[in-house]
Amino acid sequence: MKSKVIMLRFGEIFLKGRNKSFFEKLLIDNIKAKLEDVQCEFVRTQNRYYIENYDESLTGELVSRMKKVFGLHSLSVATKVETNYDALNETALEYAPDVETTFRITVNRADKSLDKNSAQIAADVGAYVLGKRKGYKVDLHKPNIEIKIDIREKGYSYVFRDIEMCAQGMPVGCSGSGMLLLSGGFDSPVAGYRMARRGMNLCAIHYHSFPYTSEQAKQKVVDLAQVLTGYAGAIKLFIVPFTQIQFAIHEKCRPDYMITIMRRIMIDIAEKVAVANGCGALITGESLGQVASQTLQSLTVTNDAVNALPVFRPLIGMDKYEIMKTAEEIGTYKLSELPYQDCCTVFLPKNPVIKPSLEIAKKEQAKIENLEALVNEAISNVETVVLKPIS
Amino acid sequence: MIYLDNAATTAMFSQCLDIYKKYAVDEYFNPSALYAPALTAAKAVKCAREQIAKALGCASDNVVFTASGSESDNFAITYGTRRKKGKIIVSATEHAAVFNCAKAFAESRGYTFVVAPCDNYGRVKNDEFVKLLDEEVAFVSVMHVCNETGALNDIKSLCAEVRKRCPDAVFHSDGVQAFCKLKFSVKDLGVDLYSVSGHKIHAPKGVGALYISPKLNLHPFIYGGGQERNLRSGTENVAGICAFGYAAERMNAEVAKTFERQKKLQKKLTDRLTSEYGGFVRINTDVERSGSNIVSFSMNGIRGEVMLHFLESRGIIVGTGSACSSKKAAERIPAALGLNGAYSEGTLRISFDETTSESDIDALLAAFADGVKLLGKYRRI
Repeated sequence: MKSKVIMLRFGEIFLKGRNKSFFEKLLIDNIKAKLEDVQCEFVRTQNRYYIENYDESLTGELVSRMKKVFGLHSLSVATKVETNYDALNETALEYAPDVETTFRITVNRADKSLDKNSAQIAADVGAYVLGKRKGYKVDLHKPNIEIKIDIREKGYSYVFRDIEMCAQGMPVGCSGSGMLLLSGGFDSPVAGYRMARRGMNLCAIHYHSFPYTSEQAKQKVVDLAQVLTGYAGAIKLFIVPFTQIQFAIHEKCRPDYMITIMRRIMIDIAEKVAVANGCGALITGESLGQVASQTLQSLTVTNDAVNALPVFRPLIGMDKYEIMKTAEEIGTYKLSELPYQDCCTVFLPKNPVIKPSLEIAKKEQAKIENLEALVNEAISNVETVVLKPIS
Repeated sequence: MIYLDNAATTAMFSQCLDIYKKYAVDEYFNPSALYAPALTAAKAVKCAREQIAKALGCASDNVVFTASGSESDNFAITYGTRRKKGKIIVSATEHAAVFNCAKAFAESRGYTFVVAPCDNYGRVKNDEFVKLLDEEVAFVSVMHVCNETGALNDIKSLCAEVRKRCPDAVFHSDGVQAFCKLKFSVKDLGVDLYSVSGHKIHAPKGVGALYISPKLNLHPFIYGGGQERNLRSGTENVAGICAFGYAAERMNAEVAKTFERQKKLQKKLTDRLTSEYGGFVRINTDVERSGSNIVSFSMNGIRGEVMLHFLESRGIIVGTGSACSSKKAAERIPAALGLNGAYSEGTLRISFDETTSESDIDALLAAFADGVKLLGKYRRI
């Protein structure tokens, strides 16, 4: 008996006490959701999970899926063999490429019934590999290749080499739901990713200003949300028609306060839609000082428009470079760089206020006498798109 | 829906679809094969080549089929140059298939890349063009009809100037917007290379052609089975080629009549825009010196894309310029046309086909008036 398996290690939930089973159940559910369309066996042990009995040609695909599951720390593609010394020798040799290099064998032995201890087994397997690979030298401290043998109790062992890091974080769903304000830019998808990584289910809201923004711009946001489903699971995306509100702002308010007021109204709408859909927080991609609307004063004035929900700004202390790097890693960069106009830039004034005053913002906003009606109308015309992960 | 973006692409003739189906489904054979049915396919390609050659005014031996106008341009530029060094000149408003290809080719092979300036209508300034000509010129590419503005370049006289001053220069013209829309012959123009495309004249997408003067001896652009006189290998797109041949013959038979009819529409549209929106709209098409089916204008303070979407919501489809470049931050063309300030983002391109009617223009103008009324309140000046 010899077969390939994927060995999964979980991370932070290890640290949980009596609640551990709650987190673990979520993690297992999320893993199983990723394996829904794959014929395989999911095996749970005390401190690891294994994907077994799958079509080996799917190994790459399964690894890529598991790397996106928040709550997993790392994984290894391993070979599962019956525990006998010949099989361990042969399997270890398969992990030793025929080149000149240094190596070590590391054995972890849960099965104490064997007649040799871990160090003896490591020395024996090492000697076997050394005999077969002429260019090999043992280096116990800094080897180029480390072959690991994990001997379990029920008569089988796992042999593997590389440990690949997974997305880490917490299982999606353990931290409730958040409403992500999703533009077409680089930042907001990364913000969504980071909160999903802390276990949040995501909903998303986008403001669409036809004819100022195109169907392509809307599709870009749908595509961005679709990428996020790979990490966060299903996402409900709310698309708010925003043109009439922008017209009203443009007609009634001071040009330098247009963006400030627009963002106050956006976050107000986001909160209303969030509450109606059971979200317990708002998530934005704001980063302190990045643009005029993200100065401390601007954030204060925008935040004032929120009634009760906390606003999570996971990028607040990140540099643009770090954000872009994460965007590349999670696969949103190429979509975000598509040059379709988003609604924030439609009526961009020449000199937006950098340090807005809350008093003036409120006074200017109050000039839109029918604002409540406009907001209600926008919310009642929201288009909802439900996105599920694509396997 | 009223479709007025025919410079981007056209609806396929239903007969082209029939022809396409015939050679894709019934007579689907590889024309190079040795069995009898393959000969039918080979004859059909021959016939289409003759149809294209007739529309171009050249011998059928001088027509090479390609997969697009862009491919024809790339073939011409990268394989058409005879001199090993010197200058490559292109006009400022060339399509990216010419401009970007020539620039990259020049930079990678050590040629000097020179841009010939255009006037505000996108037409090459003849006097300044002539000043660029000398014995160092290796390659010249000037489009016949500008895809952005419809400007008609006097290829015959530009080519004659090049012949006089640049003995080793090869002259290419991108004729994608002129082919079957103007009466001309490549022999009369005097060009060495001329690119055309199928889908701009109601043929399917995925087929184009390049006229290659018999005086040129080019190396193969694609190596393989030796098709297209060993210049562009790859099993022939028989279905597309035959549909292209049909469309060219049909369009060319009506070319003078269509031109005259479209000129009236072009004049009506530009006159109305000028008289009704004088200070707000700048017309980029010189009706007296242009092809017949394109009108370009720029609005002061309303982005072209915004008006495009407004008109789209009224069932009228127009363009903002080259469909191929509208997705990129295209700044080259507005700069070449001397568009600045709030005009630079405000360009719309209206392009007709032979079915476009006066009532279509009326509907466009009525919807445009509503668009200006609504969007004009929120102009960015």
